Amino acid sequence: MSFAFTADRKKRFNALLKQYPDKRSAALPALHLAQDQEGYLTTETIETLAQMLDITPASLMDTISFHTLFHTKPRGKYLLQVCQTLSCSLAGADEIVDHLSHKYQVKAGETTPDGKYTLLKVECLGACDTAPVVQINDDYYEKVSKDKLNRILDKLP
Amino acid sequence: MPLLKLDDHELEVPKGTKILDAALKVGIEIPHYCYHPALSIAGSCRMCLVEVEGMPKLQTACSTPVRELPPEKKIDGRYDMVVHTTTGKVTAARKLVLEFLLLNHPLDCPVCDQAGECLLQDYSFKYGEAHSRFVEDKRVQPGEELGSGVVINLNRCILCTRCVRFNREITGTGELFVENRGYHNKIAVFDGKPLDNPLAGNVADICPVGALLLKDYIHSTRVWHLSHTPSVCTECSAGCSITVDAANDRIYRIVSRENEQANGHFICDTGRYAFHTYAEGVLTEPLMRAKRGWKALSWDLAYRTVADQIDRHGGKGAVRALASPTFPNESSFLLGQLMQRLSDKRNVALIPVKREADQTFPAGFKISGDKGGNRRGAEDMIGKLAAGFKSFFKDEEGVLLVMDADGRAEVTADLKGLFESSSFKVVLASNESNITAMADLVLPVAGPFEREGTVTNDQGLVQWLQLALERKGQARPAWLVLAELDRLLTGEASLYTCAGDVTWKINRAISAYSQATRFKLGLKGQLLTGTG
Amino acid sequence: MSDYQPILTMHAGQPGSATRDYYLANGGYRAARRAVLDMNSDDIIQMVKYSNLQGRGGAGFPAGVKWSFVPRDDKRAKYLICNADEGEPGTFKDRMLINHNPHQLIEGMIIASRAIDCHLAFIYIRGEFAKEARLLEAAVEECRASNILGKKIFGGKYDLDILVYRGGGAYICGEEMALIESLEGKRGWPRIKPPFPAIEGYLRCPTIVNNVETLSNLPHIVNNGAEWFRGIGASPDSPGPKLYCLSGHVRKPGVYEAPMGTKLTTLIFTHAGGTTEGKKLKAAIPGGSSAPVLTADEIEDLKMDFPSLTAAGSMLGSGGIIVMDETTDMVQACYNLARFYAHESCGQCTPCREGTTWLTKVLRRFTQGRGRMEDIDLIGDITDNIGGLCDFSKGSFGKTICPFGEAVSWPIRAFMDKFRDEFEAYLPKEEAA
Repeated sequence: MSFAFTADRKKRFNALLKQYPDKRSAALPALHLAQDQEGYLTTETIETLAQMLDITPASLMDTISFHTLFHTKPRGKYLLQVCQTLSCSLAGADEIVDHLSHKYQVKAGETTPDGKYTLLKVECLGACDTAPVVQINDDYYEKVSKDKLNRILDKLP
Repeated sequence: MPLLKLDDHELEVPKGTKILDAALKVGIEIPHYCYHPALSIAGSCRMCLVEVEGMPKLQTACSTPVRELPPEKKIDGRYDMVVHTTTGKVTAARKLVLEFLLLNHPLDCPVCDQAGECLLQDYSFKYGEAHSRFVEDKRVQPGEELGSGVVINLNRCILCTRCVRFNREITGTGELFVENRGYHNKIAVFDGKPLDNPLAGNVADICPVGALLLKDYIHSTRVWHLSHTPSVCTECSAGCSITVDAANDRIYRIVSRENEQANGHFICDTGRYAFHTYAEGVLTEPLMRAKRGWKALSWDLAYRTVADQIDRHGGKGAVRALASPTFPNESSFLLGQLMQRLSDKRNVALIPVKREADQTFPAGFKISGDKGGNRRGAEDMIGKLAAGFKSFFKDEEGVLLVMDADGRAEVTADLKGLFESSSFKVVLASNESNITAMADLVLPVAGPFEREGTVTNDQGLVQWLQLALERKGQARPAWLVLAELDRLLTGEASLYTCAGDVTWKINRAISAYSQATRFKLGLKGQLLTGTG
Repeated sequence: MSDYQPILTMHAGQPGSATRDYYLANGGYRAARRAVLDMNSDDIIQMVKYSNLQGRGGAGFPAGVKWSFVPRDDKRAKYLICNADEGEPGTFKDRMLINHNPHQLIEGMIIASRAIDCHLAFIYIRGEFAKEARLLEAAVEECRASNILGKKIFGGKYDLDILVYRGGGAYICGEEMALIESLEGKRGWPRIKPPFPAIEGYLRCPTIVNNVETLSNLPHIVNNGAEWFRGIGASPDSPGPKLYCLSGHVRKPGVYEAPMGTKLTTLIFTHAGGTTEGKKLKAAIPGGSSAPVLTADEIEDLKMDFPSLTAAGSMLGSGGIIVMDETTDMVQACYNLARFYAHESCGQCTPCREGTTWLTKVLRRFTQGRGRMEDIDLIGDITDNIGGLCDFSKGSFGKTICPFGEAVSWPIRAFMDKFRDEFEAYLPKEEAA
């Protein structure tokens, strides 16, 4: 399973290398670009990216494993990230987690057997005024209730 | 220069000197883990916190530079900085850092190889608390193999990152990294990219706790059983200072010995593990080639055989010799003396030894490609030869006297020719080798860790090679064998009682070595007169 | 509500407020044009210094003073980084500013860049804000297309480009040195200071890191003058408009703009409409989760500005106010924060790496009814040992490289000290006796 950027992304990656004053600084943008394309970062992807950035795979893995948004294992098509920090917790985030856990029969951190949903408890998403908040992939869903969340989830393709 | 007051000491240090370095200079112990003199400053273990007057927070001694104050602002009218390392605040801080470090530590000293030389153990004893307030479940992670014979016990790791910095800054190979974040941080290697560099073993030396260990050494002994002999590695011409750790006449490990003029703080894995090769094929008695295999004989008979063969094959004038660039100067010196007395012809050269390209690492550490570890010394003793021995050794009969190169001799066509043309070949060696295989008579001499004497590295640093093991069987020191041959063949009545006596002779005979006396060498060695 | 006219958020909610054309039609980029064409570095630094604009990210360090640390006549490139790594629990103002008025931020960045002679600036936005990052990228693109960014901007001689950089999900990257490391593509482990970033930051070059809100104030200072700015709020020493984030048990959570020094009770009861269902107020965290919690009594008459909150034993921090009514379980709330900090500790320094998780484990045991009397003192000890004693009169006594140690210790300590009875109530019967 080798990795290569699609033509369009390759162009964007090359643009990144030109924009940043040093290659390594393009690491996070490049990782976002690769993960966006592949879903998660495989060993091969990391090796290829490291080579493109002129650093060792170990060095890149160091960065990847520090940041929570990068995934090195397969995850569901939909990443259900429920904020559990104080304001969301005060607004009932625990019930949202329980609800999703029951709905999909998974514990936090697990993926449904059909590979469709991964449930994650995450820390502060920075939208405390609209608590509780669930981020599904890149999108925020705010002031969610069980019903509202059901409607959102049912509409997902 | 700023004047620093460090507890009761007053010292002038260059501006910017770190407090910890200043403390080390005057012998004040400030406990530390992440600090290592050869690596960049991490400042993360927080063990070296000290009190600096005028600063509300405790400061890490490893990272805080000594400042210079304008004359009107000097503390007590004279000091630029006043530092306390023993106040209540400081000792309390040490105690708490140790408490944190030990929370998840398995406290398995009884089965830990580091016990006895563990900074966690030492500092806990000196500065820590006897009991723990931690009643929660500990973090438990399985051990892992990192590659190059290094294993990690993650439960003992304190994440000082010395190993990570070593691989980034010294070797430039960067195999090790910190994985994950926070409480889940761990030292790791990337999938399929194990620790793989010629200096890898050093990570175990610099690990301040029992986390990084060498498979070669693990569970083999306890450090308090080991005798530590300061010596020199002769595997290449870099001449690293080492400590040979042995017990019951067996070497358990070799570790680096700090020497700014030689290797700095590290050694290569070739030198680290070389001792194993010398445990194989050890020669314990003089051996004469027989119709089938070898026949043992006494030293007396062996010496007489040499004399007989010389008489039989062209006499003293036909004797030729090869000195060894891996033996100490004393052997080469005596061989040179002997050969001068035998004839005034140019009759001694160096045995050829493997040469590869030098390997130089980003931080400057060098593994010399010249595997003749004492080439410079040997050349100094017998005189430098311009173009090998082909130019002055003709294909003639005669006795050939050869000192082996500890298995690293290169059997070139020239060397083969020399052996073939010679009538009788005497080889001084400690172990069976490609050279002893071509010998008619083998004289067993002390092995690399059984030798004493001086060696000169490629920078002209002369160091004392100290014997760490007893000689095996009837093996004798090479310098003694040569002195005895000299007496037998030329009647030279030298009265050397030890290698040091020969060193004394060298000091007088060769002007560049006049200062390289046994006493001046000490533990760090002495540069040749006119070098450095 | 008072007759205060919002400045930073005056266009919030207007259709199209995030576009360049809307911004230009409402007087946008006048200040940047002036800064680039008619002012020099000294003019801008002096003006901002005099305005007493304090950093809005949490520490409240005067922006103009920070800029003045950048060495002059230094051949190295200089960098400006906008810190949009908003992650302090209870804080969501930067996201709002970006969503409603990205060009105000870009304009502020042009002014700050000009002040420190920077030609390449970055917006480090937290990775979760993917939508906001796209919005900013679009705004930057609009600017590049109209000579507001790029070569010889505004037809002058000054070049400036801005890159939008999405983080990877790490609270600690809001700390400026961790942010710089992350921007360099490394793990976000804070560097030891000194050297401060103004001397040695991104790629070892002089670097200034300013918060989104701080930078968004700049166009208004340049347009209206420093004197005008000093007049906003209760004290010219800590002046200006401030965005307060209200969340938790309030009727109308949200971002409210009010002058520096507005009373906390006004914000809770007037702006945010009081507590949910009118329940009794128990406590509030005034400046993001790192600010020590204040009880209802302590909140009376408390002015929300940097000096007043320090005097009250807490801090203005990011201006994130988390309101807790009488139904709040303070032990659970305390555990929630401890867990947050344990998750976000970067793990570089021993006390923080080990201590935050220890705290969390002890507190979890508490919430499960398995606490011990001695744990109450133990929690206090652990917090002291990570972040130092919570004693503002003596300065900070943190034992870690970065202020995270204090940020976790102080709030936990405050919960313990102020709501000790609730912790004791959690003890099993045999322990409580």
